[in-house]
Amino acid sequence: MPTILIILICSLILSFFAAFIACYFLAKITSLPGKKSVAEDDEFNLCGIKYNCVAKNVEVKTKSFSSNENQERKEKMDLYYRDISGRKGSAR
Amino acid sequence: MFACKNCGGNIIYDIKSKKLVCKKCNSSFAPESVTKENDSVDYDYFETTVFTCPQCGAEIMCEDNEASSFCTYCASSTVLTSRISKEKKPDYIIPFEKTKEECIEEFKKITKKAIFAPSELKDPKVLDKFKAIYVPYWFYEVSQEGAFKVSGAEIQRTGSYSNAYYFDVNGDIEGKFEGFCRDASYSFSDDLGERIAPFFPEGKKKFYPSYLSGFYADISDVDSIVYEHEAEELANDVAREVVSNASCKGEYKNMKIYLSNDEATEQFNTAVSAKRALFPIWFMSFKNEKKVAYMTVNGQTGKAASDFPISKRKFFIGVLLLTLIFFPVSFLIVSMFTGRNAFGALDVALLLSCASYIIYYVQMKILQVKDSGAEDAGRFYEKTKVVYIKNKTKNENLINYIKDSIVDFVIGVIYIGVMFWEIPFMLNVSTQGKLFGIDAVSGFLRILLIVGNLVLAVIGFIRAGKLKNSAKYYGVLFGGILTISVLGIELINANSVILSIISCVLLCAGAFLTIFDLVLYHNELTTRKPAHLKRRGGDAIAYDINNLDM
Repeated sequence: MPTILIILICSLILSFFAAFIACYFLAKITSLPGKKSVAEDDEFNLCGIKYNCVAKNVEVKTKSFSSNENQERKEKMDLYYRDISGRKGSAR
Repeated sequence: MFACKNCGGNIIYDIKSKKLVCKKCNSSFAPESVTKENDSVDYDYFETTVFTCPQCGAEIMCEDNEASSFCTYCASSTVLTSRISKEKKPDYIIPFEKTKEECIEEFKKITKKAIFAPSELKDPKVLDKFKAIYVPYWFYEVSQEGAFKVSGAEIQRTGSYSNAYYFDVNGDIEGKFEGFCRDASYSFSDDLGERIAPFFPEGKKKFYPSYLSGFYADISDVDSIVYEHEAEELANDVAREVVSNASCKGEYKNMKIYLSNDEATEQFNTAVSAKRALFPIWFMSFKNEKKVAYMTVNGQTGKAASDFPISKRKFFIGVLLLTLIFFPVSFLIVSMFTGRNAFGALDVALLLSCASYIIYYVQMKILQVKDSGAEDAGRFYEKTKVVYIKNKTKNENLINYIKDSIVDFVIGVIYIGVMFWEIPFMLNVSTQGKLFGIDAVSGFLRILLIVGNLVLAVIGFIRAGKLKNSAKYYGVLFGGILTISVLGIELINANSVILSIISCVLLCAGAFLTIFDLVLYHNELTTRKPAHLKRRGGDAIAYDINNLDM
């Protein structure tokens, strides 16, 4: 069989192969229109929700201090840092 | 029917003027000024006509007798039976603000992007079938009020040492949330409801039955308890954050308070109340083969969302066009395997085949979740009487997904590892032209990949068998058989150019059948079976027929 014919047949098979995989994803992406709304200017992303939440007369009293890194505290701190890294914005 | 005070003609709500307008004498009335005799007697219920479709069992309220000839849910032209019924009066209604013309314009925008959607969806006659429906929603109001006493902490890190400061935080909280809404109808999946959201509470009015004149209205059939927890948790999250931020004073700038949701409810006196509401949705059911797909447009904002089925004709045309586009690249790749074009192409085909079966395997898992209805809180509650609490963070979702899919994960890592391991062998060893010959070092890996494809095909097929909302398709099994037959052919003669090309074709055909099964499954799940249910259309059909297995 001539080489050029082999190349042509094989190229056709491979391009068809790639085409239907690509086509499936294209069809899938375009067939579910309508994304969920995100409220970009709202720190809590409460799209469509009217709210007013205020903390008044807040008093903060120091209870204790610790610099010992025992296992229990370490776990608390890990939890704390995980929470802190996700925080943003300020009080209303 | 609501009668005109001046001439006795039929009056219907006009979206543009926001008034009830008489077709005969053009008189107009404010909706709250028009009532039926019984409306003023019973404060909790109102009298209306309920139509029932004999085909699908869907029930819908409508004051207009035109409703008796067409079912909005299953799109069948049939004579609906009607009865006068007393329905629970909603507290609020958001009247339609978008006209049919505006709705169709918005819908056209999304159909433009849906290039594989059936062409009929662009036909003006089909688009004219959009109906204005008031869909029942639960409208949650949350209040928080009173004194709280909570604990907080700030941890300051200096080098490898950490100092922890613990505090007592006292204060008063005052919070009001209004407008957390969830659909109270089985006819809409939560997903579709969320995609056309939000509805803005500013537009709500006190409900008067006259608002329904000229429109359809669905009947509420999901309990308010289903989404109460979501509303409560959302308010607690915000309050927790507000208190944390208000506590950050002086040198302590990162104080955080720790409260579980239950503790927050207790401390902040979080109280949730649910009101019945009717929200405006332009709705069309589109018949695709024997099933229907739902097209929706938010009647207040004009936001459109839909689950389009994939047109098979367009899919094939798309494949042919993309084949032409990819051809030059494939030509280049095959030409690179100088003197071993067919063997090199077979290697590439094997990798593409593996990719296809992995896609099938993963997609089938996603379809299975969608099919089960576990993501729809209303359906979940109806079956289990347990309130479904959605995982809140992406990380939690990911961790749970990995926990649930540990076997998939291990198979995936090994399988993809073997695929990547294969690439260097493919580039060097296949020059010998012996794909499965004993002198080909990578022969064993290739056999593993082909057998792996068959395993993925069988697991995928079993998963597909568990899908309750769909018929069985056997494309993937035929695909698996074609793929495994390559092994036999190559074992007979791995040096034959002709047999290598035939093997390429078999791999390609097998993978195509597999991917096409996914298209069929997609269509199954974007559409709903309208027949054989006892009472209602939409998701209830799936529920009734399948007896949801959680």
